[in-house]
Amino acid sequence: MLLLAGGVILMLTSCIKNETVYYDELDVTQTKYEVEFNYSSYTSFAMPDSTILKTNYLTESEIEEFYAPGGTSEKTLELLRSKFEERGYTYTESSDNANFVAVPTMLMVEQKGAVYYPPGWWWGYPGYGWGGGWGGWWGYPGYGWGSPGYVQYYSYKIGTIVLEMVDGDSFRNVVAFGDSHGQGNQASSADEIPDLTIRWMASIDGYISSDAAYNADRAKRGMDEAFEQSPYLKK
Amino acid sequence: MKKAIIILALAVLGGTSAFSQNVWTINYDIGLPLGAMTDYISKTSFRGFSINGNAYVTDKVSLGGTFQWNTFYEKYTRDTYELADGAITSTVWAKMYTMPLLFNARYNFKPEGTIRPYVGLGTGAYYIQQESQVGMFIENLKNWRFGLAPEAGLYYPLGMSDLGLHAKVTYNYVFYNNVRPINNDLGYLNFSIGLSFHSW
Repeated sequence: MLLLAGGVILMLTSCIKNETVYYDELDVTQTKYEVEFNYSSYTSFAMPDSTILKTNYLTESEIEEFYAPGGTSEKTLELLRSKFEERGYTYTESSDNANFVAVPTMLMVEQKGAVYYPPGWWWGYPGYGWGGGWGGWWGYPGYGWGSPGYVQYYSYKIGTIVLEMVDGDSFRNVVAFGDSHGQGNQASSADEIPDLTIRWMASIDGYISSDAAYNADRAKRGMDEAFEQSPYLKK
Repeated sequence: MKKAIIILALAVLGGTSAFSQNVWTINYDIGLPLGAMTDYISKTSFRGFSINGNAYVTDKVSLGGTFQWNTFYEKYTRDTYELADGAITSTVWAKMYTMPLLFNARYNFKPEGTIRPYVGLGTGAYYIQQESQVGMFIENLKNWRFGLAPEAGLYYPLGMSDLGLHAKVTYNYVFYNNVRPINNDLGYLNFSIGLSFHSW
């Protein structure tokens, strides 16, 4: 009967499906658009001076590098600009008359935490296995009731690129509103605040690896996929 | 639910002294998705096992319980899925762990034969864990659902010993129509091959 029980537990552990997964398999590209809107009604577009960056872990010098000529900010802007130009839209320097504004934003966020495995922790222990033969873990050091448990720390970095196609008129209204209600002025009632109309949005999410070239390739693939998903974006 | 588990445990474990003959089986199980389930996972599961205990209450009828486990899995390579107002491109993983806890009644055609075929019906609770992963996003749904499990199998005792071989086919039908993204009742076949232990 003991042998029988051992056999059942062995089968149980081999019944949980795990496998090797690569960073790029976890990348997700999503787009959202206004089904009723005619995207061919737009002709010209403007862009901000740089890619907006939000991060909680990049150092000052890394952020400087991001904004430096030829850096990630500039490359992303150039790529986005070429994507819209390929679809027949015309780039203009000034946002004064542009039909839409193409805005790239990049989020680079590090998440940290700890997982505590209470007694019974061996279910999650990475080195846990049945190599020791039947019931091998009975003799495992640290095993036992009342053992202090096991803490595993984790840390990972997530990168998100958001691409937005903002309606030019709504953009100018919002900018004008901001100019006339500068910081420090009283906030106005909600119905006074003009809407910012986002016609199209793409979001590219992935885990950031330590290999910068690999990350850049995946970011580029994500931007390609976002436009492939959106055949309606054309002049 | 707890009550049902206790009753099931009693039915399985308490059966030993109450009835004249008991049959235990322990099996390796293959799972074959059917119908609506194939839209989620169509691949055959080769990871599974089951344990069953049955005790005779009449010459031909035995009652008992079954614990069974299957892991269904399918990976879909990177592709684009159209949504109502957009699209998503990603690798998609679908995993489903099914664990029925069933009472069952079996009619044994030849309880003393060399080959001992039976048909039966199981009913009880299915614990179903469904893990849908779209790239880095994971949704884990855990549900208990009622289900039915008609079955047909046979015991093949080895000589005069208490040990035998066992084979069984089970059709699992789970009331699962309110769990996304399947939104339909779940059907899958189990092929069980294992050992039987006959005790008096």
